[in-house]
Amino acid sequence: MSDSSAPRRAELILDALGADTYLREVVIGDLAEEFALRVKWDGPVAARRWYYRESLRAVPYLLRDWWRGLRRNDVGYLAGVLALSSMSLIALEYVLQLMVKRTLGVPLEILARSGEAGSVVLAALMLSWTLIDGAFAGYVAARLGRRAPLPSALSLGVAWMGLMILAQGHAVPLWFRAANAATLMAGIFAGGVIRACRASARTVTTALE
Amino acid sequence: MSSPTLGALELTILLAVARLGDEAYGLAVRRDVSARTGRDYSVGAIYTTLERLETKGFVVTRMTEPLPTRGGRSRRQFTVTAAGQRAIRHAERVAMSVWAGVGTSLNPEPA
Repeated sequence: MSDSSAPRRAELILDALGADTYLREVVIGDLAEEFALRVKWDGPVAARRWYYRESLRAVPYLLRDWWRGLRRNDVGYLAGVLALSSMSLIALEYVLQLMVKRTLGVPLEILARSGEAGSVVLAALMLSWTLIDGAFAGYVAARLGRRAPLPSALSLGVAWMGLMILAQGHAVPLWFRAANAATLMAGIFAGGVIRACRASARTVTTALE
Repeated sequence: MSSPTLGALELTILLAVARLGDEAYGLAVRRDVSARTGRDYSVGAIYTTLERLETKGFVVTRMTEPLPTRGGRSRRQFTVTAAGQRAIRHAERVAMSVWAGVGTSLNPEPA
């Protein structure tokens, strides 16, 4: 990648926000054009910093455009995506619970809140697993929601964050519920970004061939 | 039926489109507006407002050919319509009427 070409990953993420094609094209195009100018004026480091900042500022507008463009059949499709990716999340979680129970003889969640020495380590392990679990489900959601990969993953994250905070009950400490939900959201977002970058990169490569 | 009204940012952007003529596309409009107002508007804010102006019938758009400087993407160029020109004239008359007589009653250097 030359210094004057805009950061590719940021472009791919903006592209995956599901906004109308015209809006995406002109927003990403404008940013690329100004980035090239800023590389000449301010140097590549400052131009890159500017690009990331402006990309972040453009995200709400692109997401809003996706939201406003949702039709009834899109909502149905999104619901299907959420259901299928949720099933993948539950399946993966079930496999983990089974593995831990078979290995240690006790469910992981009970160990984590038992207060015994090492429960902090177990809690950290649970959070790490939640991250992987979330990344997997986010990837699946973005893969299935081709029309809007990142909004699909983000919708899944929001739905599951709410469920986790409400459904885990008061037996689990609030800090852990909040940390678990935030970790899941981060994982889902990361999975969505990975998928969005991979899919768009492949599209670009195919187009260039 | 009354014609659609113009907000402050809408008027500023519509004036920029009128001023820039054939060079009125997102990036140029954003730079013009930012330079004149001293505010750094995001590219999303500019396009959202331009789309609103298009919905109101004050500008029309066309896409250019893809350009290498934009990574092979097109520009979206804007042109002020007759309704847009009327809206600018109307806003000018309203502003002059609202400001009439104010200049003499203000201190030159307010504290």
